[in-house]
Amino acid sequence: MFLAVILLSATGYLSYLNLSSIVSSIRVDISPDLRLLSIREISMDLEKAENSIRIYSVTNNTGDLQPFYKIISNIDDKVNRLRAECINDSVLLEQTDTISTLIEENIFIWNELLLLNKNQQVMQSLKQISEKLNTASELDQKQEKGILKRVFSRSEKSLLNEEEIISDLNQIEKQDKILKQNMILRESQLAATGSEIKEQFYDLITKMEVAVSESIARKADDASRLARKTFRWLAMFTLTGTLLALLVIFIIIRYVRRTNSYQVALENSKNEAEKLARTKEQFMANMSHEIRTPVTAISGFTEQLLQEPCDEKTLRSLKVIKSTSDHLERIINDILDFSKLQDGKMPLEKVHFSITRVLEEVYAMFEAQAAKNNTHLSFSTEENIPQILIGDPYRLKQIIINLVSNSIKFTREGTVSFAASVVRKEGQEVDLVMKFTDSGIGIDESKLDFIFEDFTQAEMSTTRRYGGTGLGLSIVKKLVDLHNGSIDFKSRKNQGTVITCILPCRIGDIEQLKPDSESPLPIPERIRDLNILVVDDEEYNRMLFSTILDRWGVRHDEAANGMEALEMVRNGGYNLLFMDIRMPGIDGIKATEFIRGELKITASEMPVICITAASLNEDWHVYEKAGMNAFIPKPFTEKMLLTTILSVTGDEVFIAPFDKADEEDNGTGEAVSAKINLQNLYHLAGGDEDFVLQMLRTFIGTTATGLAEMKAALQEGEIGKVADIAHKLMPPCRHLGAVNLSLLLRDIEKNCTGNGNEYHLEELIDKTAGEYNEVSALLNEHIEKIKPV
Amino acid sequence: MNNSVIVLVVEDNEYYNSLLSRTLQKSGDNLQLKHDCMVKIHSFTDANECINMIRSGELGNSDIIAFVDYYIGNGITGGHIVRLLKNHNAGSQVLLMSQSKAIAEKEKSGQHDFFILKDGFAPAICRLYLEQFIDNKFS
Repeated sequence: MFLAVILLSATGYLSYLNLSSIVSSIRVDISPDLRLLSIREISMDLEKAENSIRIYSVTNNTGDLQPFYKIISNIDDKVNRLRAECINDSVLLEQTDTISTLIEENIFIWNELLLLNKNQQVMQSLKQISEKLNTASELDQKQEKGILKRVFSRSEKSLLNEEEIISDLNQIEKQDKILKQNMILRESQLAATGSEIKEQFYDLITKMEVAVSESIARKADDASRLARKTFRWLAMFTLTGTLLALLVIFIIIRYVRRTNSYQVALENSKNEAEKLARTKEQFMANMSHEIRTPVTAISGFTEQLLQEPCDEKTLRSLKVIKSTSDHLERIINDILDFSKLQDGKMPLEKVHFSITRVLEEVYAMFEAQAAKNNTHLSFSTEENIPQILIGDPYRLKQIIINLVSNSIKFTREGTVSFAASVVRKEGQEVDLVMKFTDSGIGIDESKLDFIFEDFTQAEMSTTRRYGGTGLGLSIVKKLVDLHNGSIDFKSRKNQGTVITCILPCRIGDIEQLKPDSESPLPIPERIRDLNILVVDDEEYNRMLFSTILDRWGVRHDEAANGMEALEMVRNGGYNLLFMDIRMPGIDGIKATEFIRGELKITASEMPVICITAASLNEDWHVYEKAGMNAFIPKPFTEKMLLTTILSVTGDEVFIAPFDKADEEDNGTGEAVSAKINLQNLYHLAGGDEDFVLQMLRTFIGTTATGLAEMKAALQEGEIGKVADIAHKLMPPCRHLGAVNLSLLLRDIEKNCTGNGNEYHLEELIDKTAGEYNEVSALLNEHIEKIKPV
Repeated sequence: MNNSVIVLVVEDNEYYNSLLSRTLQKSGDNLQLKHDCMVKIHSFTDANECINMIRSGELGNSDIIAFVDYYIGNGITGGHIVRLLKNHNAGSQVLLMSQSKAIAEKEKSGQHDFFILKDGFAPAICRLYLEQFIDNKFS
């Protein structure tokens, strides 16, 4: 590519030079040869000067000499200019000098001629005098002289003087002739000189013209050669340019293709990554749902059973089941937490909590386990530690649990202690310093660098012997980082471990502290007045709800899917709905949207609480948008259930009527009356009045036809057909809110199937027809209102 | 991946048939845009035509969702259509509709996937089901 550019540039430059040369030579060629012009000018001047002399010689008018004098005064300048123009050509310069010399000679001769011409005038004057004298003499000889004349006339002497004069004059005339001859000679010389000058001029001009022609021919040849050369260069330039262009196009195409393929690859990678992320999310959601749900059930039911009276053996077994399911739950939580931390989707709470209480709870959790290992477990807090701190007690507890759990796990017959203190900073800011010390198996110093890595334990044997996912410390590290804290790990093999964890916190307010979660809440009376619908496709979840609600004495029903739920809600009577999200058919979100949007049941009439796995908290905005009012995570405790219900039910509970077909105008022009309600139709039409017109006309037509067929069928005794027709006519009536009409049709159908009385049927059909007439009148009225003009 | 869905509406009442078809068509148009899929609606007032279509194999391997009225005339019930559809394509979703709850009870052991009571909300529920079906399929 680089070479091609160089080649192109070179050919372009050379082409440019050649073209410039051609243009220059053309410029030179078209510009007139100044030397030639000078020569021609001088030549013309000389001719003019000669003409001027000639004219003068004829006219003897000095005015005619003016051009001559003017010319000869300027001729030197012009000759000098010609000389200067020929300075570079020695031959032409020599010729110019020759011309200059000849011109001087010519001027000399002209001047001589002029002088001679002037002399000739004198001669002429003399001649005239001579003639006069001759004439006077002749007259004298011819005329007789009078006395006076004889007296006063000249004598012979004078007559002789006259003859002398005449003789002189003749002499003068002779001289004049000689003069004339001289003049002729001069003129001849002049002519010869002039001729020579002309010859020189012509020769010079010819030579110059030849030189110019040769020069032009040379230049033409050169130009022709240059042109051919230029053409070759241009051709090469064009070819190179074309090749370069093709090369560039090829490179561009290749680049674009490569870019496209990279883009496609990137997009594919992005799609793949997104798909993987979605798959991972889906997997986590599934795992959360599929694993947590049974774990919840196990944990929940075990909890319930633990409250029932049972023998020691059963109690022990139940405790084992509870702790095992709790452990399983912890592992699941670890994995899910790890996933959330990796994705950066774990927000930290900021609530007021008691650090002492947290430590006490953790202590209570591990006291028994420590005792089992013959390990002394202790915790302490410094006196200066604030009673209440602001932070996320759940995540703090998680850090402490993980670290204490590790310490206890890896310590046999030793000591495990954890202590909390604070370092005061500015204002309400403090650093919570937690120190975890154990005398356990410790970790080899060489492995300390990897201790916080994911799925890593100190040794493989550790995993085999002690179990665990290897996520505990990794989660701790990530949580500490999330708090912008620090963690220091010091350990030596068989010499125990000291972990120092520092978390920034703020001092809290005891007034803001949440009530003790352990103290049981009484079930308020208003809870017992509720009628609750639980919608969950998992049977054991429904059973769990059922067990708790039964114990509370709360009325409740169950639905296994969204469709059932909608049917049950439509039948009405519920004040509260627990809705699972993931269900076959219609999911919880769509079902809630339908309840709020189509069934128009408001949150105050029937709050909806979604049942969801805790890891889906971040989707709360989706649930809220659908119309849900609260959520309860799985797994949930009885207390969580109660507090959630209390949070949504408010101070008053009322059961709203389901049927919305009240006589009110909703301001959209939709006909609402006791006989018809077109709201549903308009809602489905979505503003399409043509559709509304079409449907109303169809209804009127088909119902009228149906009623006529019904009458005919009754007359024919085809009771079954009457029932069929009545059955078919009902749904459209219901859809249009023609409740009375639909009820009458229902009665007809009932009467037919119940082997009803024909007269009664006839009566019913007539009544139905009457009702229909009223309905159709209203519908026609509405049609008139909305149909286009 | 097959990105077409066939929706069958089998309802002999012309009004209700138009109502359902129109509702589902409107929803289908939006879903086509949302998921870049094809939603084709076939509505039948005559059950025999539907049966012929099923037997002809015209439905192919596309995903099918059918809204079938129970009483569809000519001695044919919706249950028959349900069985035909399920035999043709076990994965097809068939919703049986009737205004009588007794039918829901009667056809409890039927092969239909859900029962929809034909009340004022039935078209909206049908639309909801179609949307959920297609969202689940193409999400």
